[in-house]
Amino acid sequence: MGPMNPSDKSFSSSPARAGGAYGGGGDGEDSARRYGTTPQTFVPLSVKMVLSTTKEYTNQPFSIDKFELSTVELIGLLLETIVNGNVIIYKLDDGTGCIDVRQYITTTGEEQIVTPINTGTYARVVGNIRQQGETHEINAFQVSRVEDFNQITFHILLTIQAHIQRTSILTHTDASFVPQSQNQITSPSGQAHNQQSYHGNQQTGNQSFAVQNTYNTYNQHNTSGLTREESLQSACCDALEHLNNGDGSTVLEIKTYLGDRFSHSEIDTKIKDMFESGTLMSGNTFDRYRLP
Amino acid sequence: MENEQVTEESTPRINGNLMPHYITKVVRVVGQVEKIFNQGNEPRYTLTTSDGVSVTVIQDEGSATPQTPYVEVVGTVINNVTIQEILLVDFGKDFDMKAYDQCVKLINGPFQSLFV
Repeated sequence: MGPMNPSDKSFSSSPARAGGAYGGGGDGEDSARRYGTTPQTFVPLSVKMVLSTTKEYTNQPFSIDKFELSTVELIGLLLETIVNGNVIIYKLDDGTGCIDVRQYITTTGEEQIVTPINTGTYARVVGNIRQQGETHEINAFQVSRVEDFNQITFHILLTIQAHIQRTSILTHTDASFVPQSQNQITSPSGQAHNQQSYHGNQQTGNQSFAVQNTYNTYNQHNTSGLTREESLQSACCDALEHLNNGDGSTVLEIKTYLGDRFSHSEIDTKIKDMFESGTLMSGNTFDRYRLP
Repeated sequence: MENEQVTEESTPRINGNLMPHYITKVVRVVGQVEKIFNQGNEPRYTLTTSDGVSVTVIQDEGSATPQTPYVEVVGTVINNVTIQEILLVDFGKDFDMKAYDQCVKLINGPFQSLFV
């Protein structure tokens, strides 16, 4: 298939984001209570994460990391666009999976407000998750063409950061923990950069501090905010980086470095999983592993 | 159909250094186009991936060539440094490769469970 450089400008850039990725957003409230009971209003997710969302009862909202979801945001490539009456059905693929996105065509008099976006275009989707039989789909409020492809990077970073914050909140029982607003990413100079300005294509090339911010958030909650599985993987990566001697390291060496935080069998299983998935490479001998 | 190849399973975002682990798999690689050329009847181009690895992309005859300096290739990994293109998306002329590569490392590292 040929290149797919979007040229149709019929779609405006992203509208203002009402509320933060986590609804409310007022600092100083009891965050544990707020986040535990109030549906989040704007959550960046991957398709894989959407497909993993669950709900306990039919009439309850979907949830992820034990948090109820309301509106979600996805960015991916449109593999298929079908117009069926007053509904446009897109097949969106973000590399983590594929999901159907349903958008209703609205008209004002003779004028059609929503126009289908061509297949082969990266799009940003905002909407609700719906259960359709055994699978999930998105009921979209908005589907807009991605004009600046740095938005893909930014979306991934926000998805990670939101996950860290959700899992951190779960482990912080004291109300003093107030996560950073999802709509603001702070540069090393302390200057706040609003996410909206990014989506308005005014912030191209300024992502290094967004990456740093995500790393900082990750490091800050490294021991308390991640699941045990994520902490283990992170610890293994840290150990391999620290032990780096060019030949790679054995599971025993990693275990010795990590002390009693994880068992030998846990580390052994994780290291083998990481190797099979390509996260790690083999070292000089079959029992040694190293980072790529 | 090309799209069916893409949707059969997830297509992980990887960089050049991860390619050896995905031979025969369909992946997504972002890179900067260095050279467009033909070998026999096969159009090809070389990319420098987000982590600086030089990769050759093989296209089908008649496929359109990259139109912008940065592109995303969805394709099958043939060997450590070669991809058979399935889809090509032009990523424009202003793309932050360094930030993207950090993302790829996060996706394939501690946050693999969210994306892969």
